Amino acid sequence: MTQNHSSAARARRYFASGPGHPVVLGAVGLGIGLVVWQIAGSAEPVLLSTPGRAWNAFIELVVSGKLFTALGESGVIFLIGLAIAIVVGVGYGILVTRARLLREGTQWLVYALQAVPMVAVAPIVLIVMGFGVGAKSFVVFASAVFPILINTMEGARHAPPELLDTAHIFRSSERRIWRDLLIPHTVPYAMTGIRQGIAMAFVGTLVAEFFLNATGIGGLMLSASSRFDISTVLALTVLSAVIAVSLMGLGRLLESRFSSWRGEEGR
Amino acid sequence: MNQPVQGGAVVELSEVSMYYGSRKVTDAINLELRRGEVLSIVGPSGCGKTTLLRAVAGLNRPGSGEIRVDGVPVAGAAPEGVSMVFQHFGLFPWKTVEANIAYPLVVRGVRKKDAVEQTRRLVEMVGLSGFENSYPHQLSGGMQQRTGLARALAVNPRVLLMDEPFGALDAQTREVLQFELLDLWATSAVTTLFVTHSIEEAVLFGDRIAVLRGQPSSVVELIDVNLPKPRERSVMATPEFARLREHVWNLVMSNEVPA
Ligand SMILES: Nc1ncnc2c1ncn2[C@@H]1O[C@H](COP(=O)(O)OP(=O)(O)OP(=O)(O)O)[C@@H](O)[C@H]1O
Ligand SMILES: [Mg+2]
Repeated sequence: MTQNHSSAARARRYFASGPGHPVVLGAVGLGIGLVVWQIAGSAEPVLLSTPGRAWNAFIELVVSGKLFTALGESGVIFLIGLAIAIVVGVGYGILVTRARLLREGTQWLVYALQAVPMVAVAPIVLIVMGFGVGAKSFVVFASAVFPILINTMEGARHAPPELLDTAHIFRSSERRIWRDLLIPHTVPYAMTGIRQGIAMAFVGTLVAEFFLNATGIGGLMLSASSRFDISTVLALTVLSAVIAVSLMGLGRLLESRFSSWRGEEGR
Repeated sequence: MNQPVQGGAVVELSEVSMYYGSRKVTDAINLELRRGEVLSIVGPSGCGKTTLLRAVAGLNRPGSGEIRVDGVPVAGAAPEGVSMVFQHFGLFPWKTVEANIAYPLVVRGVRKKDAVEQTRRLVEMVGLSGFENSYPHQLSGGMQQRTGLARALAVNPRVLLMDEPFGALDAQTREVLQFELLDLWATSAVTTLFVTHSIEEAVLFGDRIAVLRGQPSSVVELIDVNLPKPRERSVMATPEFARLREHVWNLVMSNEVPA
C-alpha cells in the first residue's frame, strides 16, 4: 500500500517536470511532425511542400509586407465581430432569463440558429449584406455569438434563489439586480462561452474571408491555393494554428481570472 | 436620535392560506404580532413555516387572506423595513463583508459617506472588525451569519424575519449568537418572526410561541411565554422554562406521523 503510494507519487513528480511536461511533449511531437513532413515533402514535391520551403514562403510574405496587411484586415473583422458577439451574447443571455415571454418566444430560435453551419450560409450573408467589413464582421459575430449566448443563459438561469430573495427583500431595482447579482454570477459562465466564442470567431474570420472579395489571412490562403502555391498555404495554415492556440490560451487565462472569487483567497 | 430603540411594526396575518399550485400548504392562519414582539414559530418539517415567512416578506402571495404590516397590506412586493436572515446566510460570494452589509444601504441610494459610516458601526456591533475586506468563503459559518444579521439590521428594520438562522451552525457558535441576539432585542425592540427547529430556542426567544401542525397546517396552539424580559440565558434553568419546553415538545411530537 505504502509502496504503491510512493511510486505513484514519484511517477507524478516525474511527469510534472521531466520529459513528461506538456510543453516538452508538445515540442517533441512538433519535431517528429516536421521531420516526417520534410521527408514526405521531398518524396512528393508537387503535392506536398517541405517545412523549409514553407518557411521561405513565410519570410517572403513578411518581407513583402503582405502578411501584416492581411493580419490587420483579419484582426479588424475578428475584433468587431467578437466584441459585438460578447455584448449581444451576454446581454441577451441574461435578459432572456429575466423575461419569461421573451425566453419562451425565442429559445427555440436560438437553438435552431445555433445548429446552422456558418460555412454554408456565409456566402448568402455576404451577398445580402455586401462584401465589406460590416458583412464580414457579421459572419464572425454569427459564428461566435451562440456559445457565448448559451453559456450565459445557462449561468443566469442558475442564479442562486436565496440571493434573488435577498435582492427583492431589500427592494433592489432591476438595474441593481443585474449589477449586484446577475452579472457577477454569470461572468464565469459567460467566460467559458467567450473562450469557445474566440475559437469560433477565428474560424468565422477565415470563412468570411474565403468568399469573392477575399481579404486578410483567409484571402492570402485562397489566392495561394488557387496558384497551387502549396508552400504559402502551408505556411499560413501553421500560422493560423499558432494564432488559434494563442487565442485559446488567452481565453483560458481570461476564464480563470474572472472566476477568481470562487478561489481560495478571493482577490 | 442616538438611541436606536424603536417599537417595530404591528404584523397581522388574517386567514392566510398559502398554496403551491393547487396544493394548500397553510389553512387560514391568524396571527397578530404586537410592536416589538418576538413570535417563535415551530412545527414539523414541511408544515409551511418558510412559506409563511416568505409571504410576510412579499416573496409569495397568499392564495387567500391578507397580511398587513402597520396596517398596510403586503401586496406582492417587499414592504419597506422588513428584513430577513436566512438559514444559509444568503451572502453575495463576490462581495466583501463590508459590501454585503452595506448592500441594503447602497440599493436604497444612501449617500456613500453615510453608508460607510453606518456599515462601520454595524461591523463593530456584530464583532467583525478586522474582517471588513474578507469574502464570505473566507469566514466561518458563525461569522457569515453575523454578516447576514448586520445586513438585516442595516435598514433599521421594523420587522425581522429569521428562518432557522442558527440551523447551519455548530452548537457552540449557535449559543454565542443566541446571546448576542438577546442582547440586540434588549437594546432595540424589533417585531420578529423566528422560525426554528429547536424547541429550547423557541422558548428562550419567544414572547409567544405558535405551534403549527397539519396538512394543510394551522396554528394548533399559541403559547404565552411568561419569562422575565429582557430575556437572559439564566431563564433556561428555571422550572417555568422546563415546563414550557415539555409542553411545546409534546405538541410538536404528538404531531409526527407514528412510524
Ligand atoms: N417552491 C415550491 N414549490 C412547490 N412546493 C413547495 C415549494 N416550496 C415548498 N413547497 C412545499 O410546501 C410545503 C411547505 O414548505 P416549507 O418550506 O414552507 O416548510 P417548512 O415548514 O419551512 O419546512 P422545514 O422545517 O423543513 O424548513 C412543503 O411540503 C414543501 O414541499
Ligand atoms: Mg423552512
